Amino acid sequence: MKRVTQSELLDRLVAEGFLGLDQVTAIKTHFQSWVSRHGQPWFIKVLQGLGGWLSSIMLVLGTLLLTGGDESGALVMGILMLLGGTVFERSKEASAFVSQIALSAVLVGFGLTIYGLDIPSNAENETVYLMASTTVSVVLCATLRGWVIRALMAFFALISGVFLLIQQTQSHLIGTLMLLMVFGLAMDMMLRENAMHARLKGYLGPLRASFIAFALAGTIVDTGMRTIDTSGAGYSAWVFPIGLTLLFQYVLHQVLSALGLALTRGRSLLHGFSMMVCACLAIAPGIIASVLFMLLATRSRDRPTLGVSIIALVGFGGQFYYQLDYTLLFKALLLALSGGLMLYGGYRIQRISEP
Amino acid sequence: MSEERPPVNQADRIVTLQEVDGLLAEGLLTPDVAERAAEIITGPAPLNHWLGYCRAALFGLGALQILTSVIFFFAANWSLLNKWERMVPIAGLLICCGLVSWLRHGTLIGRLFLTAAMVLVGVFMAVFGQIYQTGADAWTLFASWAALTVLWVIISQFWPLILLWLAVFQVAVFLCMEQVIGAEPHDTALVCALFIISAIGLLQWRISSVPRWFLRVLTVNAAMMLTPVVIESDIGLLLTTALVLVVLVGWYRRAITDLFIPAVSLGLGILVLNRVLVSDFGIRDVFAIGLFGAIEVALAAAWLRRQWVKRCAS
Repeated sequence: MKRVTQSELLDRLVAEGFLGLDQVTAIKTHFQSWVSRHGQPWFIKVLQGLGGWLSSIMLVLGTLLLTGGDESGALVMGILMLLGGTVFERSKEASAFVSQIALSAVLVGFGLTIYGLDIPSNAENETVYLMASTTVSVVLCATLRGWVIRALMAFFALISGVFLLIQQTQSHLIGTLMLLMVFGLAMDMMLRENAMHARLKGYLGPLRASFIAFALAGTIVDTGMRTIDTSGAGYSAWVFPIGLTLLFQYVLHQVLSALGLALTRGRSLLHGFSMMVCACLAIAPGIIASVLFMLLATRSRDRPTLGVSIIALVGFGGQFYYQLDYTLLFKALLLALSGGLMLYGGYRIQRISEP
Repeated sequence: MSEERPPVNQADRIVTLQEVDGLLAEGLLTPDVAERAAEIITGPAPLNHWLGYCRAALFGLGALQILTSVIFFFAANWSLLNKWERMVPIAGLLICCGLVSWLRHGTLIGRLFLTAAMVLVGVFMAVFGQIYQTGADAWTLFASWAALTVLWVIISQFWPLILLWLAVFQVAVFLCMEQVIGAEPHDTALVCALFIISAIGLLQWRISSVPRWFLRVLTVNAAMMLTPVVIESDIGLLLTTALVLVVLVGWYRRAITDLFIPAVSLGLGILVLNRVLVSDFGIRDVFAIGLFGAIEVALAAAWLRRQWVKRCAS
């Protein structure tokens, strides 16, 4: 879906009488200066995030090798690097170079601090690690200003938080429900972008990215568990696909409502049709999750998420072949059924769009 | 076809909610205008766009699933089928797909059926080879598949189909070099990477209608092929260094207009530098390597950002 460009926005505002032509020049100048101060394409963010993360792992390992694995030294160094990195990162005058170095410093400080807590590793003390990791991540996400570091910290916070809950309750069902909740929150951020932006401001983009990344990572874990634990006894095998199907219906309802389509028989048919496709694909919830994000990304014209969803769809589709607890014939039948339903849906839409 | 490509505007002039906030803070918009602007930015696309999108997505996904189900069905019943039962349905489907793509040529449906036909050519050849085993190497299957379908691909001018064909071609090259010459995997990866890089160069130079996403996928493909080459081969290291320099010169000369390509090249450049550091210092100096890595990424990000701002302003 095409995104709204600056000139399109200005044209529409002028056409609707919200702006005069004299104001347009000043706004265009502002757009230029905003790009030079804050603008950054997604692939630079990816480079920063990946590069910062990889170099930080090496720096943490290197520091531990240099200090001989001394926990108290690591803790002191970690806190110092966290503080230093935070100060530099929050500086208004920081260049892109300094911001990236600060990002690495914060990540190294984070790793060293968690290591330096020196908690004997046993099941009970894992809780302290997870609590410390969650708290530090949340504080850093709230304190730091950069898009990439906020997203990374929110991702760490989500991982530690969900593991903490699973560890405390000893229930995979809680993990599945938390994963579905993260899906729901990511959906909410995409469907009600305007309202969420008013509330979260600069946190919206990084939080949304981390929630989507966590949701897809959690789906990969769920898919892995389905491959290992074929009986599904160790976790709630049907909760996840049913939850995803309901979320899909909700997103579809929201999209159709936003398009101004009345609640007619045709719309009910669309819901029924999509429920049937979801039912066919219930043994591969990763495919439902990918299609759900494709729909959401299209709704909010979010191209990076659309790209990630397509890659996820290919990955989960390939993995479907290796689900050995179902026969190939059964899988062929499911695919033919859902494929046939999709082709029929496409044909119906073709008839609507071609008078 | 050789007309000058218009420069890619790196900002794409896409407006964000943060920019609207900035306008509001500067007093250039009143709150009600800012609210309307936010509504326009976050509102759904028009209904006709949605219909087009849903039609393409449903036809694409539906066709893909039907094709996969056919493959699964044959795999499931393989041992029960005789040679005619194995080949005739695939040939029938292939002819049907070919007919539909011919009757609906130029439309999305025609192109999707042509893509399906291309996949079925490979499936048919695999089945044929399985029944009448000649003892030929596996690379001949992929090479014949690529050779038989190359004309369809050129005629279709359908970029996803071209991408699929390139994947088949690379597998053919990979297997051929491995099975015929006995080449190392990094050498075959280097050959594939050089082929893809040549394709990117040719497309940039000759074809103005090539979509940006296609060039970006090819760039990532080339980078993934070059990664093991950089790690394992000194010649690959030198060639990759030269390639990074060529890309940067191309960017300055404005022969390359999408900053994504220099960004991926710089990522490879960082890999090259770290590979040299690891060879010289050894993995025990992991702290120094990590430190250099952080500085390299910071320099690359700063340079890329400056270039992006410059191109946006020009």
